[in-house]
Amino acid sequence: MYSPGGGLGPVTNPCANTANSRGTTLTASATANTDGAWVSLFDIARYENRSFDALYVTLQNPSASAAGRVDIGIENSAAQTHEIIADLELPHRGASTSFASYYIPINILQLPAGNTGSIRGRCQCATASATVDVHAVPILRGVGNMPGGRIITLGATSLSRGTGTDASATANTKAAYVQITASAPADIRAIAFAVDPQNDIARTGVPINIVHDIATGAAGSETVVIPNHMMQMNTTTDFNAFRAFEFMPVSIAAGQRIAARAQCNITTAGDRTTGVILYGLVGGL
Amino acid sequence: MYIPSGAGVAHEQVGFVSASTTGTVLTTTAAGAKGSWVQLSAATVRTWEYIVVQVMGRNTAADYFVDIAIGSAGNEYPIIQNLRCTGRISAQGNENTFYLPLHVPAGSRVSARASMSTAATGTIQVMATGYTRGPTGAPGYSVADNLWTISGLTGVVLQPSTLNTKTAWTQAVASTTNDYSAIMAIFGGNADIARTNSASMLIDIGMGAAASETMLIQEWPAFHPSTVYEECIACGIPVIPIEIAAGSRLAVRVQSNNNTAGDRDVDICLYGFR
Repeated sequence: MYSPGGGLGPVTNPCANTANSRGTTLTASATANTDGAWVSLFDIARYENRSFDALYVTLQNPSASAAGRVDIGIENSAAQTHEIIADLELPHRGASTSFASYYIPINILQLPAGNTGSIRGRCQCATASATVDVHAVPILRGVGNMPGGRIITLGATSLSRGTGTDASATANTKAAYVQITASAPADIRAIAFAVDPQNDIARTGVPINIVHDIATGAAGSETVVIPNHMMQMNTTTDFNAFRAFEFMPVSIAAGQRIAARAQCNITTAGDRTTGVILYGLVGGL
Repeated sequence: MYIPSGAGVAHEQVGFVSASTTGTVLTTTAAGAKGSWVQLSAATVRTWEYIVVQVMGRNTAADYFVDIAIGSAGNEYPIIQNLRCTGRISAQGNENTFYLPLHVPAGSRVSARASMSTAATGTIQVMATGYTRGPTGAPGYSVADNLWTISGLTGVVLQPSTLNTKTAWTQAVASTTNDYSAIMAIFGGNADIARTNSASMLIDIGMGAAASETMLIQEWPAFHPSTVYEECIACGIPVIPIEIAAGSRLAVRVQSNNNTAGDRDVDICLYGFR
């Protein structure tokens, strides 16, 4: 019987604000689709002499019904912030309505005692100065009790959304592939992908079922690595903007082209369209 | 057996119906009663170490539980039971996705069944994608057990009465039957879908005798919106490696920024992986 070994507890949430039961609030720039200032999520000092191999991030309670993304960074003792996770998307449905969580197998190396600095967050939004609550929970043992790696982001656009994937005008038929990247920057061993509404939150189908394929290979010769990942919505929900995103195993070599395509059970323009952002796990064992 | 995560990986999908972009239908006939097992695969081609289970297409706005099993017809062995599928606000308004590090031997028959909270005949759809290794290379666990007392189609119900103040601990399980290497949680809204205001919550999972609980997970975030979904349909705790010895008592508590009756409700389903 398989039983991978257990890990270490407890897991604590350093972003929890017990005074209001919320997380840390990030504010987007006064210019739409522009990063706001970095805000400290938690001090590194509380994790001195320990490394962690996963980070659970939630994005919740947005102030605006608009596309938005969050970056996670690490600040060193010289007050320099280095981005370690880019463009975690909060697919939007409405203010105070949307929720996204990401279970990220990222390795953050052991920090020597006495190190100063923090894990930080910042956000951007299609609505200027919008806010979002963030929790970032470090987990000492990684996904599957295995080491994490580094995270790269592919497919994010300047409109705080993902790359658009329009499902076919023929129902229940795969559309053409849309390129996410012409060349993967590194070997990728797992992928998570966020799906956004491409600003359409007035959908009329009942239900609307959309599946996405993620594939690798040259145009016309794609090979599916993640098949038919389902999303469902209807006229009440308009878009499922309350989702948990976790990584799925893939084996993508550096230099490979990555593409996505969609299939939908209806053909209404707009209703059948979504956007995707891919997060790739690179490095590690 | 550990497979380096840089190694190749294959996938195998069962239950998806491309002609309608749907899953395989499961049927229930009485409130709270398990429906019949429905085969998703007669024999898996490969050994799976990670399964992405997706549930959608409920014909009635209700709470559902879904079981996944391996084994021949009439000898189904559940590898996970009572996956809580939230979505009371409307039929077919959202899918529920579960990322499960579970092992399925090659050649296994895979099946699923469901139960529903209402008395009407219910249908829901399921599909699953098996991968030959986990996202970081880890093998899957053998089985996941429920770590709460099943009552209706919700989990352990918590109702914080004082703003931003932790409730007392509420027992989830008096004594775990087995050793566990990881736990997972799914949160729901305790059937309340008429919320006046949203609720931000922080949830604790503790272990130990009553009044002597030690923290396993502290102030995990959760959120109920007050519009559209009305409950947290994708909130929970992913499978996190935590050691729990057999014979352990587990308890839960919550604090919330909303103490309005109904709005404040959350229910918690716990699963132990071994």
